[in-house]
Amino acid sequence: MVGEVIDADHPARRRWLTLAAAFVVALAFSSLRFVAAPGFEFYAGPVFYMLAWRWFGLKPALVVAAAVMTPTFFWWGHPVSIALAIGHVFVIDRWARGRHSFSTITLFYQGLFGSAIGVVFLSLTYASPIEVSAIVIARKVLCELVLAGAADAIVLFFRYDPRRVRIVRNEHLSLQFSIDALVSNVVACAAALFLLGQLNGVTAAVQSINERVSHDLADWPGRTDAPAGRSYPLRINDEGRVTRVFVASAATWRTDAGRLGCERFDTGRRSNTSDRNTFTYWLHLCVTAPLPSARVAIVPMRPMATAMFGDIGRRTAPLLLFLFVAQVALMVFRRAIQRSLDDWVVAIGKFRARETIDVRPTRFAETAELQALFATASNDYLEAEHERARLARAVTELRATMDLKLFSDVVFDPDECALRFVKLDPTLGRRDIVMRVTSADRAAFQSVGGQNDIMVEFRMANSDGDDWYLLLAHDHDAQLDGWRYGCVIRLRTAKAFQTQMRHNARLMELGGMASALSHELRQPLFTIALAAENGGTLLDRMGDAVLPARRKFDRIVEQVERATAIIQRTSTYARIERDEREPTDLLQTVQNAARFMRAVVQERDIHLSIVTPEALPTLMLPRVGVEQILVNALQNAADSIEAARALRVSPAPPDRITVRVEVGADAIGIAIEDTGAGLHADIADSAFQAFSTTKPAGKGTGLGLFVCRQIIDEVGGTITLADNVAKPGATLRMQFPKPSAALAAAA
Amino acid sequence: MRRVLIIEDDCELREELVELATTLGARVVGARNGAEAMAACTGEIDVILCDYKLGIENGLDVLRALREAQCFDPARAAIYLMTGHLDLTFAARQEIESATRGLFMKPLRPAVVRGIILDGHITSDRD
Repeated sequence: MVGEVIDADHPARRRWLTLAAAFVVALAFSSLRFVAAPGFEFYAGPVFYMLAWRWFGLKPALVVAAAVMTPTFFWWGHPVSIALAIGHVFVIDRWARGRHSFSTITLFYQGLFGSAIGVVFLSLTYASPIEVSAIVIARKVLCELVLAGAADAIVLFFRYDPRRVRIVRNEHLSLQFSIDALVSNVVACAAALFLLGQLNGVTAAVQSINERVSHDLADWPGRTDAPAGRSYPLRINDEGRVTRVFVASAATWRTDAGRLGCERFDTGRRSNTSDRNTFTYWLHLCVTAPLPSARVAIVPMRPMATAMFGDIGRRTAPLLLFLFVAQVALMVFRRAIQRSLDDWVVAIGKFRARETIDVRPTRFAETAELQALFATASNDYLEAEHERARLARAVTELRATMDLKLFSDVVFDPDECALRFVKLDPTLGRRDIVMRVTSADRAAFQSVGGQNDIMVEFRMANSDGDDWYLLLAHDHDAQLDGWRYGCVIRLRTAKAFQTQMRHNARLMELGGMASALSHELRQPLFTIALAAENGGTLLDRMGDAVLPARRKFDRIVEQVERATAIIQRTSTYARIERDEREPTDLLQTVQNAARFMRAVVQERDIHLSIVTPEALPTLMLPRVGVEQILVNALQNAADSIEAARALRVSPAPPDRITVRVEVGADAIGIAIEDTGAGLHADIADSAFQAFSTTKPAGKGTGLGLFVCRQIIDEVGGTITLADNVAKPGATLRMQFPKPSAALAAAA
Repeated sequence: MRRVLIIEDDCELREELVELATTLGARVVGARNGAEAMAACTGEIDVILCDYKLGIENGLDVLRALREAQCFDPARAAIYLMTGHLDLTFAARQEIESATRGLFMKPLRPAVVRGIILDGHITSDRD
């Protein structure tokens, strides 16, 4: 069939002719049988119907099966093989589709179903002993298995191309079916060859027994006088076996032989050789020899033949068992390969769909490693891509949040307190824009006049003052009296930030209040308790008349203890608020405080500048508390400047607050210097005590610096307040220990 | 007779402390600040009860000055600090531990004050 190849470009008629020719060739091949050993015949039919199923489908395969198996009917005179072949095609159609090889299905079909049918059929038709049935079935299964292996090998390499009506080679071999075909063929052929070898010895063995029986009859003691119509034991020399000899009268020996089951007779002549190729020949063979006195000795060969076939069966059985085991192992192995391949398909599908690949453990080291590599690479890529998408989203959000505007020709008009610029819009072109700025922020713009790169925070004139904008501009142009390029960012978080800062300030104040109150109350409570105690002692000397008064004093002592307990609890709460340390960037903290206070500072026309080093070590500080210290300090500085202005008569140079952050040998210092009224010498000492203030009534609680000192004390720092040397104003200095210094102190 | 030195800047409180100690039979001197304490300090002092916060002065500094001036016998005198402040620095706590027998939180219970003055061996406030 493989040879039946014609050119492409064929009319329909030629196609049918080609297929018909192939069919005829297949039929011709199937009509041949090859006798490999007595009872072991090969025929090619099953190969053709399996190929027909694979290449043309179920219906053509059924037709081919019926046709190519027809010769068996003529050989053996029964249609059982044809029926089994048709069943075989249906079973293949049900289970073979891409999952199991012909070998596997054939072994299970013929080994289980086929053999059951065979046993029933043989025992009903030929009354075969079980030994013979077993050999016949083993022969049938092995023969079919060898043919199925051949079909597996052919479909592995070739396929039918319906467009070109020819058999073409496969470009790729299937991994699992290659292994399957190889192992199945090797095992099946080995088993078949073994059985062949066994059966080939049968003819000679039976022949030799046959001859020995004839020989032994010649020496049989009963030869001359054993009465006819009875059977006697006959010892076979060399074999050590005993069989039975029946002595019949010459007149009736054929009837007696029929009764004994003899259908064939070996008279010592070599004859009817073709009959010797079937098992039944040996079962129905009897050896006959004429005896004196018109008698005939009849020896049925059946017991000996049966014993021999039983021997062969016992020798072949382990091999057949191994065949089953090998097939089961193959099935398991094939499933594992299939699973591993399925995993690849799933993994690649997920790769294409951009989904995360889960690595399932597979049975094969080679694929497991590759799969893990593939999954890791794919998942990493996917994660990177997600990260990119997240970043893109974040950028979009950021743009939306910041309300970024880009423009050119930025000019600040101090007379109208307005910012003028040209907005560059890709769709609308150039547009002149004017932003009115609050008068409080005018100074901020004036202070940067003439600088090349500027950064100014400001508020719109008509807003409520909480929405801050940041102007970034550069490339100063003297002719324009402004900057060539710039952008404005709306700082939307300003309001929330301010609210949070105010809230923190209030909490801080409250904590400070509680702490200060408890501290201040401890002293008088102590005095009260002692006074009551001493008063009680005095009363004790006056006798029993004053006992009720004495009890009152005891009550005072008790109530002081109660008040003490309340104070203890209050102080504990006040501390918790401030004691949460966290890694703090001091520069950021300074900028936060300055940002919060900028409105106050600008409103009062004070110039606030911050001088910081490039970088600072991160400190463990109560960040919110430190922020509050700075806000307090800036507020105090601004208040002090305001107070100084009230006393002045003539206009003074612009007022300044300067915040300096400096890194010392074992501490980081922050100095807040103002040009305000300064301190009175006697105030400097008590400035950090609770309820101490120089501000007018209602302007301050006198708790600010008290709280500051408490916070700084807790982190092991120092805080001092002193008048500036040789110039007006005062400076508040704070020192925070550096991390290494703090560790040394703790040790 | 036990000799007691009380250093406290609050006038009323100092008076009450002195009276209580006197009632208990001790010979008591009250001092308002470091200078007064230095003047009143002798080698026979059995107990020193000192406030931590003495106006602009610090109780620890005062005690250190007294010790450096060797005006009391460190082997004999039992030294106690008292304070209304909760928030002492780490360094201050360490010094208090090494230089005194204990730090008491104001207000002290009268029974505790009695214990300090009578035997000088109260080591903790039972509150």
